[in-house]
Amino acid sequence: MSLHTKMARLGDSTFSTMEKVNSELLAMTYGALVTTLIKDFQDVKVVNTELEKMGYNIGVRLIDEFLAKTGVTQCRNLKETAHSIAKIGFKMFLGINAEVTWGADARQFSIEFKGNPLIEFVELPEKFKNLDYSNLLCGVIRGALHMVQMVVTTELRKSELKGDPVSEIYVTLKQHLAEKFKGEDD
Amino acid sequence: FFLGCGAQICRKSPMVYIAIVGKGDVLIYEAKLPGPSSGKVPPENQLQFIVHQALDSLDHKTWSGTSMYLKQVDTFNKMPVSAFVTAGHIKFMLLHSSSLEENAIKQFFYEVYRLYIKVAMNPFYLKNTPITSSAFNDRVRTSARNFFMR
Repeated sequence: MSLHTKMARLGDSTFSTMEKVNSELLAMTYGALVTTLIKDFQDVKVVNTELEKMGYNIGVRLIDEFLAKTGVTQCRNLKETAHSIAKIGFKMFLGINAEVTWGADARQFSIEFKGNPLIEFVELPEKFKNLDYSNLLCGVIRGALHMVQMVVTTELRKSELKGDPVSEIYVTLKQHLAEKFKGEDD
Repeated sequence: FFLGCGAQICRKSPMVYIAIVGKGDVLIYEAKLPGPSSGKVPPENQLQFIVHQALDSLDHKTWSGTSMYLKQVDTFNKMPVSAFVTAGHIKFMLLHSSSLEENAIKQFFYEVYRLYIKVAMNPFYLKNTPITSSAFNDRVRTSARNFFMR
């Protein structure tokens, strides 16, 4: 069995054991969050940044749940990391199937997905066409990877809300961090 | 006033007029939809007025029963006005020819109700504001074609 198939199976089985919440409730809560942010900040760019920051805070905590529930051990390379996020992470937390496509060089990849539960019922009005509605997800990936010593930048490149057939998050690895341990004799 | 417009309205054209009215009698959607030929079609500027007139009888009939479909609430020049009230008191009103079957109208209203709910669930849509979604518009027209043009 290929590693990717194993990952997909692990994603499915973990998803079935996760506690579920009503997807409409999630979508409407997220929608209320985004519209409140827009009302508070007025500027779409600022809202995009705020959503990403919130996502980051979620990601740094989510990684522990991910590792605990799946028992996944260290990924040997970036390819495995990418597939873990897409096949296991997206499946267990959002219930959707995501695909990995590789980017321009070995340090960049995209995660493509359809049927994002956060955007259910949403139609972006014309004045908010530059809003990255699902930017929270970009932050989650960045936060989670930061906790496993990878500094990445993420970008919402395509969105079903903007008319694209799929949504796409583009991830670029900036650097690996060395594990820092507090010196015992300080 | 009515004698004056008698001369204008002798065209035979397929037409059904829908208006969605929110709280405070605010018009949030209107459209001329495909439908069976009506003998007399009121001119454009009268449509809103006709529907507005029917609101009083609609309000009266709302509390007379328990169903959302109110059937016919008023008539204008032999053209009935049918209505449907949602749980949130959003009123769908239809000006149509008397040849239109009640069952078709009822099913059409329920379909519009489903479409309205989808719009209302959009976090960017403020209640009681005009519905500008082109998807909604297209789907209402398709529904009308399906139910009224058989």
